[in-house]
Amino acid sequence: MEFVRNFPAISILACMFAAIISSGLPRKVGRVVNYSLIVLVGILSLTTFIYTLNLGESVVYVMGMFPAPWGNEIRFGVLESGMALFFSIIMALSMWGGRHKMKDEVATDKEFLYYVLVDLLFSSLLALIYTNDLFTAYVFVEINTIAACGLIMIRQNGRTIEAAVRYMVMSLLGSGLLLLGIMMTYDITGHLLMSNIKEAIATIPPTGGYVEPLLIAITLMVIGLCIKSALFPFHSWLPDAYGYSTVSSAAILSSLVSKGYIFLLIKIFYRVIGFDTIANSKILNVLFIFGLIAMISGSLSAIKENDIRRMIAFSSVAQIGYIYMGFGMGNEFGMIASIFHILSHAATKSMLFISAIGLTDVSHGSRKFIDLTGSAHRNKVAGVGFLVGSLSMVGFPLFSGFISKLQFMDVASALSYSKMLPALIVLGISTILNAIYFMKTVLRIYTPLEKMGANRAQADVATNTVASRVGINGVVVEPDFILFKNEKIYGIVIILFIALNVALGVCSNSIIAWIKTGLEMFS
Amino acid sequence: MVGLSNLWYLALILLPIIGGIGVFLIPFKKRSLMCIYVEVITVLTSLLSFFILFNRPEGQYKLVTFVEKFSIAFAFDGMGTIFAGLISFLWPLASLYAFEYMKHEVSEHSCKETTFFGFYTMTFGVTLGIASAANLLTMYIFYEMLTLVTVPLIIFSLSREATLATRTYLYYSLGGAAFGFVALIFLSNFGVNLDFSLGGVLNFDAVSDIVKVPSTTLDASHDLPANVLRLIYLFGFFGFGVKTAVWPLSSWLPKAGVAPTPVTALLHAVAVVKSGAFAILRITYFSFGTDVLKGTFAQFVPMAIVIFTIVYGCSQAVRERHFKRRLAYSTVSNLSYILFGALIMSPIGMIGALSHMLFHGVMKICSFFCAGAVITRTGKEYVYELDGLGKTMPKTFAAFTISSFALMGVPGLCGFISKFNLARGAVESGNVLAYIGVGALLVSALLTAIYMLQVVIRAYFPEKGFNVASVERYSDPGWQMLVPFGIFIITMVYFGLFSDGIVELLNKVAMGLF
Repeated sequence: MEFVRNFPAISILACMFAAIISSGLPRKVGRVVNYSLIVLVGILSLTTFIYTLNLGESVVYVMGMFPAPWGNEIRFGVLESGMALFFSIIMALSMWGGRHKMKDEVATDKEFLYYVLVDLLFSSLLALIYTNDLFTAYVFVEINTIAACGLIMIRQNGRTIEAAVRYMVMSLLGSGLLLLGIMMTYDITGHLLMSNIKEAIATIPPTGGYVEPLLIAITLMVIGLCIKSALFPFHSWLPDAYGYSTVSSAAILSSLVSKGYIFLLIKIFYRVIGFDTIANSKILNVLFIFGLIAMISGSLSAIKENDIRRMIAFSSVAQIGYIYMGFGMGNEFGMIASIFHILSHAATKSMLFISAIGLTDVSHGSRKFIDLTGSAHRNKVAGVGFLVGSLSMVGFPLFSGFISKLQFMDVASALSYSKMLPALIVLGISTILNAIYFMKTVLRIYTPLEKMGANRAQADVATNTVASRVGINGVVVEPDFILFKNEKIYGIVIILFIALNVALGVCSNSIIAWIKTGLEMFS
Repeated sequence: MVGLSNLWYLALILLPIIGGIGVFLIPFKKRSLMCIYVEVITVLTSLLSFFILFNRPEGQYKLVTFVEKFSIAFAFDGMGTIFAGLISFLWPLASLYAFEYMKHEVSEHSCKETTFFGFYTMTFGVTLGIASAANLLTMYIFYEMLTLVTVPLIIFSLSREATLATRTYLYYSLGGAAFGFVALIFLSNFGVNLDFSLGGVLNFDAVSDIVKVPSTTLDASHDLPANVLRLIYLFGFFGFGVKTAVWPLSSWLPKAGVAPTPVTALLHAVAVVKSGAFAILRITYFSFGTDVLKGTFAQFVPMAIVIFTIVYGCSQAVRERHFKRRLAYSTVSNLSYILFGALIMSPIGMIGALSHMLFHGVMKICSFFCAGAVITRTGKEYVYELDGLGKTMPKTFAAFTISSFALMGVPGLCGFISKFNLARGAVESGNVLAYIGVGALLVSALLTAIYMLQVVIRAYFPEKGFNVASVERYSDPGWQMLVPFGIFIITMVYFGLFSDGIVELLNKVAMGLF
């Protein structure tokens, strides 16, 4: 079984290799390569996961047998390999779920590029999960940024170009700060490998002159990653980037890319700085406050939104806020709750994006709420998907969001009062806000269209009427219906998403146990 | 008698839920077949429910265990029995009534009738789930489900008004539940477990005013000053209080009056709103325990608000001219009677609360049904349109008059019994605020007389110069509506005259003997 140790490295390299060869392959072959790559990585991660689970400790894998400080290291335990497995599942579902839209969204001659970019993105995500070297992490952060920009921009319309430029500027700012932080840490400690840095930091005397530079270095790294993962107030790039890109890109960006950075941040907390050090610094309190503000402001923006995709995107801002609030709670339980929320949000948000596209498809591509009226009856699978996703977001029992909420509240109830009450109140308010915008949408998509006719005439006048629905002669053309049998793959993807969500909600006990052991192996 | 198998609980909850889903799936050839099917399911559930109530199984039935302290479990204790008995008594009658009523409600713009009956029947199962929950988590889960299954019922007519009302209802309920959930989390951490047991699950040290943590969950350094938990109780009270329409969270209830009458009558006078009251009784007496709360701000703040709500609901009802909305405001006020009883935090208070929960259910459903009968037969929705109807719809208005007197608290009818018990509890508690509450009860009785009798007087004694011919074409509704009226009248009179048995039973419940 020693061979399994190579698997993480193999999966990263396989992704990069696939990206390289896909650039010369026809688009159909590229697609096959991409899908089989995701499945392959999933299998490799599963094997690694089982291997580490049996081993009971994390493994340091020295690339090319060159020991530090010359060589590069990969380190993986239960948490890393499990996360890689989870990412592969979400990746696969997002790609398959958006597959039928590909021909509308991406020009045929550019489609092969899409797969190249996804392969690259996947490799960088895996590298962020596995690497034990800060500088390697930085390199893959950059690869990630460029691939993500491409994924936003590949759908050629004006808004995506603007969105991609915004994303690029903000992301580069983030990675610039990260690089500065890494350089300062290197300056102070003389190492780039995470475990070595930690040893060096432990020897820094608390009264010496290095304490403050180190604090600044940590702050720079944290701010850099916060910008990249769209923590309030650095979220302005997010709604456009998620709202206008192709559906698969939106699902992947919202559920995986931002989570990759957050995972790197967790790693920096545990491996580079040491959790006790970071917990005693004030940095987590700042994250706590911004997390709370994000939870409220993200939801408020989502309520104002009149476009379903942008609404879901703004909801991500709030959910990222939950994760940072969990960090800010400053103990290991908060960390566990946050990691669970990473999983829960990734599973739910990608499902919402994929369902939303099914709903807009049957509403002549319009994403305005008024046109989505009754869309859940026209595409039943998408409607159910959206309903389940919304309920999970609101924290309805038996879905994954409920467990997140339960975890966060559970941790909050044992904190000091200055953190407990704000956390509880904001959690409560944020649930109300979530309920407002998600339930509004659910009611809207389940209100039958033909029956709205009479009521709408009095209430909201012609301004909102869908132009395309009224044909040339003023004859009302009924929108298309999408049945399960026409879109089998799409239907199956939604069903799998629902199953994943329920599984997270019901088997939460074992998942939390897994996160716990993972975190123990982590440091 | 040997206790029944625990599996009966599952059967009780699943029967109406699966039966409700069946309404969607079975293609009924005729409407009457569907009605028979729904009635059979409902009556079977009620029979099953009474059967279980009279032969209660021993111990809990654990369905799922998530984590050690979080599980889904069912058991009927005394209070659950009372609530389950109430809804099992009312549901078949309400379904029967709905068959006639819904003929008039369905239009080409509204949802289908199967949607209504499907969800209506499912709601029965969910409410039974709340009644039979053995711990707070189970109750919370069913409580959330209740919010969800009642949405299609409120939005039924699909008018803009109904959509807005549904939204308000959803936001209020889901938001309230989130704050109720905070209370749940605290109880799970600081209580011994989440099971309901009379007297509470907290480990309270009255001398140092500290709630001690049970050794299993957290370490002793987490002992909590009791005031923090009292604050959390307020979260729970107002969170669950949303469904009970405590001011200022009451505006959803009058708005939801746009729903079909069987919904406003059964759900917004009994099942949904009393689930809220039931939940508050649960957390007050069975989870937090009165020891921690009594005599502190956790008792006074809610009580002051509840007393205000009693008067507020009545005065709004007097002002309101829409017949059903007037009754809805009356419900707001009467629900706070129940909460007032709960907040007295003594066994007698609990007797008052439980008896008002029972009797108000019967009285209010009866008056709502009369309003619904008027709407189906005449299409009149406002109080000032009711002139002279007492002569042409004598049976309906006889029922309405009796329920009005009962709501006012006239001796000899059941409303008197519950008000008497509430006042007795308030006086015996020796709590100054509760004395003010008694005053509020009196004011409220006066206002109730105004807003209910106004209807009665208009119906029987129209103004001079009233054109009698204009109402002559109206008549009493059919037997499906009249049978429930008869049964309700008998119940109101019977319990008004022979209340010993039921008060004795409630006494046992409040003492934890039943």
